[in-house]
Amino acid sequence: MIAELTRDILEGYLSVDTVDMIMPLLGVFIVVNVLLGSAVMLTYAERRIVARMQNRIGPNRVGPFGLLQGVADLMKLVLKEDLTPRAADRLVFLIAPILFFAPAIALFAVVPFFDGWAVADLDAGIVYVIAVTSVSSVAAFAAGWASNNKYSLYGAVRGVAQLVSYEVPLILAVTSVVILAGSLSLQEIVEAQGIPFVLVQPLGFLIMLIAVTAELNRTPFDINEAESEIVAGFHTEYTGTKFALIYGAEYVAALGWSAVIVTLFFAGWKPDVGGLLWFALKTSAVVFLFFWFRGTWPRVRIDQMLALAWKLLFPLATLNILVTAGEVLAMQALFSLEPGEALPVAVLAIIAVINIGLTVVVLALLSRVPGLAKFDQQLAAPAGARV
Amino acid sequence: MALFGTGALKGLMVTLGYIRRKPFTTQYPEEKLEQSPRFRGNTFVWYEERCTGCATCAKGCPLGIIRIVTHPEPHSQVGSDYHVDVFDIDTGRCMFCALCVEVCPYDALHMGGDFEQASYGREDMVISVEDLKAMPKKPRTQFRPQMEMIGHTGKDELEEHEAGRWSL
Amino acid sequence: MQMSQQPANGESTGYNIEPVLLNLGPQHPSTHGVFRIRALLDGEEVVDVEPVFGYLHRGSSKLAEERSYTQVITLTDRLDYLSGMTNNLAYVRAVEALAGVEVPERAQYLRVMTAELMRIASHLMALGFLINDLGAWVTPLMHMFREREKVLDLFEMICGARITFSYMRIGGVSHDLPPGFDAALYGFLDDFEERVVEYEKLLLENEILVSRMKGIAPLTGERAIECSVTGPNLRASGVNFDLRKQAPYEVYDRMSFDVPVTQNGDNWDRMWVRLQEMKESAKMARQCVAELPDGITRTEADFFIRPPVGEVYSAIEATKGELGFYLVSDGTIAPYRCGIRSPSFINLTVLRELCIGWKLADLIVNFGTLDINVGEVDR
Repeated sequence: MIAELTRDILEGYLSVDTVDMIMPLLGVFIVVNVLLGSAVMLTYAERRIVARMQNRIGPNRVGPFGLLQGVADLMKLVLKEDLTPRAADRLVFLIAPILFFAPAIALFAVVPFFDGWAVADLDAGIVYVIAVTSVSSVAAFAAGWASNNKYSLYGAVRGVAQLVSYEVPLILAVTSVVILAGSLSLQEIVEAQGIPFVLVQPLGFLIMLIAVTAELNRTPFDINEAESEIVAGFHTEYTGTKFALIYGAEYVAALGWSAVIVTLFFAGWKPDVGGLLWFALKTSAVVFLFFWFRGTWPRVRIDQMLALAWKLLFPLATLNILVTAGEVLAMQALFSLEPGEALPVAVLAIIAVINIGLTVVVLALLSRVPGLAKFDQQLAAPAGARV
Repeated sequence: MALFGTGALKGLMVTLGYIRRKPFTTQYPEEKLEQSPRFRGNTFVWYEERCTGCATCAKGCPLGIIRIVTHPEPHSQVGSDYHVDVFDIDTGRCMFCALCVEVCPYDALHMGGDFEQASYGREDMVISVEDLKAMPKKPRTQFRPQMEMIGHTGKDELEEHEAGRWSL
Repeated sequence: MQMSQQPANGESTGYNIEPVLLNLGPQHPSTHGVFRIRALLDGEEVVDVEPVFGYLHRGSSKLAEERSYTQVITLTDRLDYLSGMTNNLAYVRAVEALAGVEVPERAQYLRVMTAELMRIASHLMALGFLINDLGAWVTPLMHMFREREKVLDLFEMICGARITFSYMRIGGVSHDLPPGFDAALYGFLDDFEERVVEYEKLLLENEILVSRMKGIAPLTGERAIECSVTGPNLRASGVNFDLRKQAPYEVYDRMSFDVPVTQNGDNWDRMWVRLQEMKESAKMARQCVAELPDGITRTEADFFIRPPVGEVYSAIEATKGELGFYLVSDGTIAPYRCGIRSPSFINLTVLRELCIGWKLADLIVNFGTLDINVGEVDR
């Protein structure tokens, strides 16, 4: 409606062709600016929320309740001297932050904020999401390599190992959703969710959540910028505006992935109870989840992290795909549905019950696997301990 | 049956619980922590009438940052014939151990409770005899248990005859 | 332990592969002050480790030689700045042994109580920074800082300072308890016991933490004894050695407490032992206040005490291990020699062998569980 109103106003001044050209640009302009604004606010929100988890208050000096803290930080970073290490590869050093930031924003091009409200509703939207976000691993490596610093190099190499490993379970988890929805378009995936897929695909959701946390370099998988080990990882040498870009990109990406998770697993804008606000609320809830992890958990080690990806998440995700595909085929045969037809709610409910049971069984079994058993045993006292 | 990941979930619940709780932080410039009566601050309280200029405090100081210069002159303190001309305490090097207070035989020197004595130069941190005279006479009860017995908490001003182990 | 692989032969691959020398510190987020570790790394794996220290050297031993015995107490506060009370105690006990000064019973109880409260505060810091090294975004650290603040509040009530206490004196303690201290202490202890349960929930059951700590960098009891490791690190390796039990000083022989001992000697055990010791310390502090006898808190010893000519070595179980003072008196007001056996420094001996073959991330954690205080290492 707003779009139509804007178009009417613009057509009063400009030719129809020009308006046709301007309208998408206007949409992009609005989305990008809202994103940048939210990224600035997210830095503030994270600091406040984690501060409360730490029994502190958090930033509360700049503006009312410290709301302008993010703005102040941004101002400070932009006004700061822009240093480039003498031994750095100057061109790559300059390009890397931009390369890091661009995909985070581009992610939003396909996310449907509301029924039909997406900057571009691609047929293969989810493929686009995965393709675009994997660029960030290149950017992280470029940043770390160009800095010519040992800490940065460690961060870069770790980052590549991590991102490449976690793409696999991520894509497999997404695939199971795609099988259920019968479409690659995010718009249609949302429409297919008679029941939010988090209930239908609990295992897929867990895998997705872990993989996305790793993809975002957030605790407990923030090993490529592990502060206590390699100072700041790949962006150790960055200052000023370039650092602001890298730092901001992480929050934009967190927002973007949260939006994708909401779209895939929490039925996007559905049910329509508050329009855009409802979607924003769900996204914030998922972002909060990342903040919460960061406020609680320690970091895993690099080899454990890779082992988790390849030895645990990969087989589980494969299992999940097989089970989901089998269920969909069985349901289609049982209820004589056409292939590609959206599954009715009743069918989804049956699959949900099966899959929740499966997830519980898998989690229970995992706590008994010998290699993982140390996760669960002897929590109170070590063997042979005496007091 | 223990599920994989429940331990991590418990940790999450602990941190979530803290969101509801009141923060422990004290908002410093607006709120200040309650100091104990024995708190050793950055200032000193000196009772000129009690001081005989014996410089025991200067000897007791581990860092030797107290400088005392006296000249003979009849004094209100019984048995003292010295007037204190210079009493410099270099708080820029002071570590506030209060040994000078402990050794003072006449209870003339006390710790003060103020801790906001920041300055732009080290030379400004030297407390001179004029500064000592001008400082509010709010002694802390560090090494002065007799003050605690009369209920002094370090917040009120004390006359010189109340501050010592015996009245003059 | 997994042995490190030799770098591939340069001729065969055409690449010249050699280990990376990474300087961790002296300015580094997890070196606990100004400590430097020169780590030789083969990828993520640690090939060699060399601790480099001395950045915080203040010459405490030499400074002590030109101060009177009482004035040296202020120096000991600054050795291990996270546990000033136990440093005070170790030093004054050495002087008392040298000069033959008796300590009143009430003062002994007060010493034990403050030392145990100090142990709680120090272990809280050790655990908090350890979890910080593990990568938790300072949440457990902040929770532990909060409890430590409460301990420091208690110390401020007693002696007027929060870090540099200078509370102990030759022949007793400088102050008796202030009015209202009992209630404050009981309030803290009651709250602390709840908080420990919370820490255990937050730390001991977390799968990530378990996988990061369990079985990592084990230290055998024999090796620990060979390297003179003391304190919680030794007890985690299965050696039941605690000076509070083995050579009770002050009134530790009247205290009812247990010494936590574990067998594996890995990072997990070192953390666990500290967590349990805090509980025992809280118990002891409670017992001290309950049994506190009446009487004086200080025998009159001269401020410029002149111990007879002689020498003495006296050690106590400080928070990080056996803290000993070796004093030589030549009959003047200042010690002729003041040697310090600092547990942090000697516990560092095993750092190299604990780290070799493990990952870079483990190096940081091993360093954290050893619980080094740079002020005490460099003295």
